Amino acid sequence: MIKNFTPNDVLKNQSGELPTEESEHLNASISESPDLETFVDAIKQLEKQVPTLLSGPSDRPLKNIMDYVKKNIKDK
Amino acid sequence: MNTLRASTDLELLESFNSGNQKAFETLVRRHQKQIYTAALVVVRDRYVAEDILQETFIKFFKELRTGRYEERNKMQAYLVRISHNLAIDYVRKSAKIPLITNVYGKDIFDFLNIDAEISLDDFDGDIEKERLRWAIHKLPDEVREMVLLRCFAQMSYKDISELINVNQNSCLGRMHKAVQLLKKYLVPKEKRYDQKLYPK
Repeated sequence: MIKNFTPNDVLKNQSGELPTEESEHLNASISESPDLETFVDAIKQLEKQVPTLLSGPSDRPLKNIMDYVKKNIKDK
Repeated sequence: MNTLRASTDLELLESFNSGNQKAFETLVRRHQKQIYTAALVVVRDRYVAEDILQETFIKFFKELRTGRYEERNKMQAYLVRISHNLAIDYVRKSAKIPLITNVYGKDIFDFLNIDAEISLDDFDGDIEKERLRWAIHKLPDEVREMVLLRCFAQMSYKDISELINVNQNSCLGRMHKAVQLLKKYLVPKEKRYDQKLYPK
């Protein structure tokens, strides 16, 4: 049976949440569907670009957490 | 340290329980981005999100010390849930929706650091990063939340679904919508009009 893949399948494939067999079928059929191919490209771009727009937490929380841990392990 | 980095969460926990504080530090480093983002999408203030990140790990530490931590195989999902709940509590306790700060602590727009009045045409064509930042700012809140949890925090749709209490298909639908809207927002100026309908 040939499955028609949807954008939701593409999203799950990108996040590693599609079963292996379905993932292999999807990867093989992407090049046959220009719409899916464009969608995959867009998602890949987004996943690549978004992390560059934001910075993660500063070093402050890590330092405070570890200071707390050290102090409370010693106090115990 | 390299050995610790290669260790699983459970191995790090065991190492920490045997007295290795560096193992706990490795756990913080490994999960802090996801935990911070889970708070940030709710409180929209990087300083408050950092406080929540701190509070989450201190709570976790106390649970480890008292033997109350039981979800040993789902550590990240567990920590992210604590962080998200603390963030929701924070917003509920606040008298108003918190103002949003940029890296300098000034209230302008939000952690994406965009002026709400700016338009796509104000950006130079080659500043793709700024254009994407602007476009993400324009997304509806629930769609932007999905983009950040998936693309920045790199959470799975299953974990996001459990975190924000929305079924997985709706999460996928929001991400699909994000792609469609971003495409629409980011159409270059010269291609924005149908040339057949509006010939030059």
